[in-house]
Amino acid sequence: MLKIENLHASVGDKAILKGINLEVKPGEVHAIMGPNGSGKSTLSYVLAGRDGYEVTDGSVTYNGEDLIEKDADERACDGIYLAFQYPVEIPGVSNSYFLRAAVNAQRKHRGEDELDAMGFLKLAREKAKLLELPDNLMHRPVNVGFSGGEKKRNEIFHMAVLEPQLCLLDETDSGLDIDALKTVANGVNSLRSPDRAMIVVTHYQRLLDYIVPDQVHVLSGGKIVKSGDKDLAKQLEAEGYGDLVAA
Amino acid sequence: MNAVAENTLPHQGWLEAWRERVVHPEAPAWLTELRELGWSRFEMFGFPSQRAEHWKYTRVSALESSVFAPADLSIDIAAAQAKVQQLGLAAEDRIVLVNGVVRDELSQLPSVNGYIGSFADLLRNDPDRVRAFLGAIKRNHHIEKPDRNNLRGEPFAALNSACAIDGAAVVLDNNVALEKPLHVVHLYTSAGSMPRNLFLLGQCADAKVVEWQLSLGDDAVFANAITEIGLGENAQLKHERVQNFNNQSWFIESVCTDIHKHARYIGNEYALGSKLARVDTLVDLKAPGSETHLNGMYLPFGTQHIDCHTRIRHQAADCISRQLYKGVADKRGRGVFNGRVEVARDAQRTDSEMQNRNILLSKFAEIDAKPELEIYADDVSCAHGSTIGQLDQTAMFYLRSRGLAKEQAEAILTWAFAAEVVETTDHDVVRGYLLDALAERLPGGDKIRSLDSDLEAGE
Repeated sequence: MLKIENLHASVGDKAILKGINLEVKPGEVHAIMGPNGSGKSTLSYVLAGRDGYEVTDGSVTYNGEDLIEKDADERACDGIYLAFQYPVEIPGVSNSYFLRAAVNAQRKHRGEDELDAMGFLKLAREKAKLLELPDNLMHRPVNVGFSGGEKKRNEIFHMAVLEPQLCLLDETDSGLDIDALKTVANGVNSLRSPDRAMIVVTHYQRLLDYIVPDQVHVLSGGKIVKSGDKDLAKQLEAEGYGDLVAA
Repeated sequence: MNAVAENTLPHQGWLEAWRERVVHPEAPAWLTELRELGWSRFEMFGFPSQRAEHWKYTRVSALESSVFAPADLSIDIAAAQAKVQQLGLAAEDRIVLVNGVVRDELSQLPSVNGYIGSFADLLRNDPDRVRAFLGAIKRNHHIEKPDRNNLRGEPFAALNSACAIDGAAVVLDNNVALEKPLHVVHLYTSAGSMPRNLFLLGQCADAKVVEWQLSLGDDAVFANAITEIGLGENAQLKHERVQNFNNQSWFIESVCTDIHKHARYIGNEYALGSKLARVDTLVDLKAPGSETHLNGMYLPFGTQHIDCHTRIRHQAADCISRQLYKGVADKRGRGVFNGRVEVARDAQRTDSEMQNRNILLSKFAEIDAKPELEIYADDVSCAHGSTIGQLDQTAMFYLRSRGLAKEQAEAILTWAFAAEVVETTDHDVVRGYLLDALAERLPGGDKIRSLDSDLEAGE
């Protein structure tokens, strides 16, 4: 589904990713771990198509197509979803309005009919239940006045409604207490399926107790320095990144 | 000063009509004196020129060659009635004024301990009560000590003092709380009007007042309004103002508020219309613990010119002020924001914040922003910021990463930018009116508005 080869990327003049190789197949969950500043978030942004994150070398293919040349909204319509580490507040625009606009933009791109208000609300309510999202969150302005946990749950709620093929979760666990973490993880797990892949970017092993990955990669200095199965995460938790980062 | 007074006024023609009008046949001597003072000050100032610092970006010289004699007061009541209906205010407590004069047949006045109704009636029946506060405007507008280089609304205030015959008056005795919001609806049909409003809240009184300044019809009008507000100890006023004149009209207003101990004034200003609008919002925090929050939105579109000036004076310790003003300009629209905070030497522990944000939707649009701070106390927290520019790029990425095309994401963020101030209203009728205006003006706004209503209806 996703193939990253020798990916180099810079922000401004600063080279951040320095030769990443990664292949993700449908149904797989990959965890990317690493210390602060290793390039984890940059990798998410590069894959999602944020302006200002420039690919300087290497390639990214998604479902056999070159991803790099596509704008962020095209990638979203092709089924890539990024759950933000810091979801953005949008005053004056209700969560349900925003999400419905997104759903319909993607449906239109796929040549499907747009959902009307009733159809959308039915879908949204169903998914909101999954995330134990309070009803009023749908009608409040996007992320405005949401607690940290509500913001992260809202990101997974959007994901559930948009039903992407490739999910990028950027530090979805940061700032969550254990109950909120479990709710978010349950939501994510319920979306695991044989034709959907996930890349879970995290600093902490804790999340991976709840979202169990197929593979774990350690990112350091803009490169993947080690890969392994879920036990690698436990090992990192016990031993720290010390040796790997020094290498 | 005599040399200045010799300035000939080219606009004397239409002003003469104001002068000749018999304002109040049995006016007490002090009122007549005040009017004469107004005339002499106005003649001394003339209409402000762009040489005056606070008029640098706003040109009112065309007023001189326009003709704005006193508006006809025999107007079509049915049209005014229909407008009140259309605004959704038919069941609300309200003072309705047409061309600056209160119309009882259109109003629905709540009965309270105090007085709500026509300023002219109050002046006639209880002149002493009014007298002390008409003095306030003198102080606020330096009528006693005019400084030509530092003119704000003084010339217009002086003209209003000379000419005003009516306006809305709200006087609440101590501990009186208005149960429902009071709407003050100013409608203007043609020519010139100079309403004078007075809101006095006694100790611990509490009110929500929504003022509407609107054209009735397509004629050009010149409205020169003053609102004087006095808040007694621990009183609270939330004052929202919606201005939507037609594109031929001139609107000049000074809103002067004195806030006493522990009292709070919340002023929301929504400036949508007019050919040229200039509003001075002047707040004096006069005693410890007083507080003000000013929120503003100005949308100069087409060839409109909208100028919002604010001045908050911290005159005592432990007062709080907050300002958030946002502008969106399109086509050849021109906006001005000048926000000033003055902190007196004794105003220790002042806590003040002023934010001004602007977006230009066209390369011909212009917004001039000028936040100013003048601080004489040494233990203060004063923050201010002003931006003119682009939409937030992180937010753009957020929207696009969900699948929205660039234009659609821009439309939503522009909407969100303006709607942040709309959300500060307490009233659905105001919110609806403002969102309709945004829907009409902002790119893609009609779609955002109608889909949002759909979803609300779907609940």
